[in-house]
Amino acid sequence: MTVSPGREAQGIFNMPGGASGHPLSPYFLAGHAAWLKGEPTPFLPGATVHTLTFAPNPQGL
Amino acid sequence: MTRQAGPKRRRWVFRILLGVAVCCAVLALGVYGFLRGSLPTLDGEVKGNGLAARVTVTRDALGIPTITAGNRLDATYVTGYLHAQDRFFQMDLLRRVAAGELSELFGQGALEIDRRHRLHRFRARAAGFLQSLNPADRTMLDRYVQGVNDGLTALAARPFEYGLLMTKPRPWSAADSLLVVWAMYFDLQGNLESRELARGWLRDHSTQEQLAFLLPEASRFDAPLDAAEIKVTTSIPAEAPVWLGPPTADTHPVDSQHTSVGSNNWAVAGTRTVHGGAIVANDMHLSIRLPPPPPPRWRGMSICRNLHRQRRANRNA
Repeated sequence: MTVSPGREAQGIFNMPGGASGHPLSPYFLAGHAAWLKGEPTPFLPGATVHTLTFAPNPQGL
Repeated sequence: MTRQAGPKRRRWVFRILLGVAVCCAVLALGVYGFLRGSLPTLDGEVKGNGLAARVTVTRDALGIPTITAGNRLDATYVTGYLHAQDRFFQMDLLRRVAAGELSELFGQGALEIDRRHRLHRFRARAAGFLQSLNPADRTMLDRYVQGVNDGLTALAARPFEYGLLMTKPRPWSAADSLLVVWAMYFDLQGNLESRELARGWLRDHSTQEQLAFLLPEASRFDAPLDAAEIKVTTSIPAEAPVWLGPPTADTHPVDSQHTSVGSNNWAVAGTRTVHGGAIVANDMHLSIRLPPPPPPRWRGMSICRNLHRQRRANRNA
């Protein structure tokens, strides 16, 4: 990870292994190839592909 | 006789083969269904226990989640939920490594590691530490724990690794989160015990002068952050330690190019950069593992405060 505060859009972030530990997940090893080849991936999140909403469940605390 | 039995036998062989094939297909489908069952929920709406307001999680093409919540406790709950859905098994490994509870999952093979790690009594220490945790931190930790357990139970099937081990995951607890932090001790400082014993032995078997040479406080490679310079004293002692023995004919230089653990961290002042802004960087030097390193340690995640919601809440207050 390399980032200049205030210039986050230019920051880089590599995550070998990917976001998921599940072999069937599309995010298993996501970004690993970029890390192997030394290609920087962006520090800031990219365009939204999935959206999950959590609604308050007042019963269970 | 045999000529008549031929087609009949072939029919039976065919039936048996068909049966085996059907069984294999059903089994394969079952395994695939079981694997799919533990995939995280990425879209739609789920219920979050004890949330103050709605929380949104977006994911980009790399699956990096962005959590947008109205307050820190809500964001913490959802962080736990996502961690559990993406990586519960690896979280489980970490708490077990620290506590010395691996053999509960893997049997005899892990007993040796457990015995070594239990000497540190990390689970007992975690319980003691939780007693002294301030209430605000405890509340936050509990929200994380509930998020993890809700995320885990919301999966249609237990994480597939438990299928292979034919066991069920044990729920997360507040102490487990502390254990995950302490699991890092074995990664980075697990060699301290033998190192300290060796230093003690050297101290007991060398003179002050020899010791200063063998275990220097600093070397010319050190660049202290909190001092302009560091005093380096390198004087070769007049006599070698007795335990070294007399010089031998096959004396050869020691290869010191061995690898060691440790990460690189930099902070560069704005006065030294082209654009005038400061730069921070971190390059962790840890082994690459599959499954990949688990979330409580390294993982991309953005957490944003939903300012609009916050402002509205303030107005109402």
